Amino acid sequence: MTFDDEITAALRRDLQAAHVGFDAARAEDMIRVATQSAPLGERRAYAAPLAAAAAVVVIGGGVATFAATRDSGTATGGGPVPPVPCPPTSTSAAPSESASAIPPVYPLPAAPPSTLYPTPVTSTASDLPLHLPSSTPVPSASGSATAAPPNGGIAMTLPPVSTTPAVPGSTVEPTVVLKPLPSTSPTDDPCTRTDAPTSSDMPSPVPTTPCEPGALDPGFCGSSVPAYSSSLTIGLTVRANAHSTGTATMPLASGDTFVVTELRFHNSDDTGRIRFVQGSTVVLDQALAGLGDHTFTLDAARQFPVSAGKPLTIGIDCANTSTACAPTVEITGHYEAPSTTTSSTPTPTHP
Amino acid sequence: MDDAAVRSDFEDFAREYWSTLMSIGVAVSGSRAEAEDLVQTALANAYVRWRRIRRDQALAYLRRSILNGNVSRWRRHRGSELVVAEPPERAVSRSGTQGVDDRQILLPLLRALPPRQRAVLVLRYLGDVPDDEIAETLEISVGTVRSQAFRGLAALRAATGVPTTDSREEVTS
Repeated sequence: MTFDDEITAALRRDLQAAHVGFDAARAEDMIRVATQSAPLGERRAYAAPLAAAAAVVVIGGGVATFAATRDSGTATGGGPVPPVPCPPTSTSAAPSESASAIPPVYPLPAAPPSTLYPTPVTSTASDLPLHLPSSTPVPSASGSATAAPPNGGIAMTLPPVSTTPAVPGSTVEPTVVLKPLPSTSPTDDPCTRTDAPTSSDMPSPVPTTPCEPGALDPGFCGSSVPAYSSSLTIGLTVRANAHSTGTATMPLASGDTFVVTELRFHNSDDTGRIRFVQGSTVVLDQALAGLGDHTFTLDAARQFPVSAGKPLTIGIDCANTSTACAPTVEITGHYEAPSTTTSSTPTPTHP
Repeated sequence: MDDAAVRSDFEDFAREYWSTLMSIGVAVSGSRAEAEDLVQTALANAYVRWRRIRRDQALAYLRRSILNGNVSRWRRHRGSELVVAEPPERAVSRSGTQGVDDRQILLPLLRALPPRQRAVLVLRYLGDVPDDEIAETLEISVGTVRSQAFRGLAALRAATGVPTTDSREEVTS
């Protein structure tokens, strides 16, 4: 027997000793993830650009209306919408016809598989650098497209979500869904509710918008605050033991600021951490609390503003040793008048 | 074949070869977590192409996906790994081949090899894959397979202190 025989025999023995036995639960989990990650027959190589081009969110609700009515004097292309007076009977329990006709959520087209697994056989999106940017500005999303709004809503152009450098072995699937929060329940209708924000609620009142029947967004009418609240939903899929970031830009009109007051994590299946970064500043560093849905109401000191044009980077550490993390982050907040943004809203930094 | 049948076929295949694929992943990556990532990605890639992958080539396809994924991973990580002239722990060669008789000595050394050499050795000695099939899997020539194996084994011999001797390995390219 030659020395090479010894080497190869030892190598063969060591390799076979390290054989991984069948783990039914793990295998089923991995197979399920693989089969659910993308439909059969998709051509991933072409999916990413299409996804970027398709990153258009059309909403007929509060966010768009607010953005369109701000700072402009025309009725189209960002100008103000006509006044939207309340229904004649302000205590009516029925939501407005227009409001009820508008779906509460206009989701993006189904995420193409490349956003789930941007890793072709020989090259990967996880070739990107490792860490959440700490000292360099987050790259802004670029490119956009628009689509005709349904139901007379206002087209909102949302820059395509861009992924920031992610650690090896991780994938990022950011999807952004904008949805107006105004409830159609009678008690939440700002045209009838008593807690609707008024000019006195906001540091810098804007002219009151009268309500009209059929108002698209009940959150707008009868209040000096055009948009009462809205939410941004960002979904990230991060592989086990990986860190990834996704960047989204809130579709705010120039000068607008959206103050994040509450975070909801859906399907948070890991005990990792999530960080929100603007530029080089970590505005919030929040631990994920494990399985299930969790809501974090931010106290005043932890609330943070998202300004128009400033990309918000969300980084997630997935500490799970076996499965991927796929939390959905829903950001809820309210708008602040431009003139009071900097003075009234602290920008806490959580290093 | 409708989608359900394709999916079922894929699932059956994945169950059947899960251990094999994971073993390859562990052997080349050195950790189970990394192996799961590699295998998961390979499975996902294979699934979307499952209609076009011939069943008799599916295992080779997945092997290639795992190994290429590991090469990509290695390229990403190599800049961050601390390379030292002398490994902190060396296998002690007491006499002749005694050093390589100790179990599990070679795996850490194997993982220190460049990924292509590692892949060749793993396929050859874990999967008993013939050289021509290794060549097809890695998309290299058979000669390159043999040269990579030769160099890999030479590195293992050097690391374990086993003196170089005439080898059965032939470098043909």
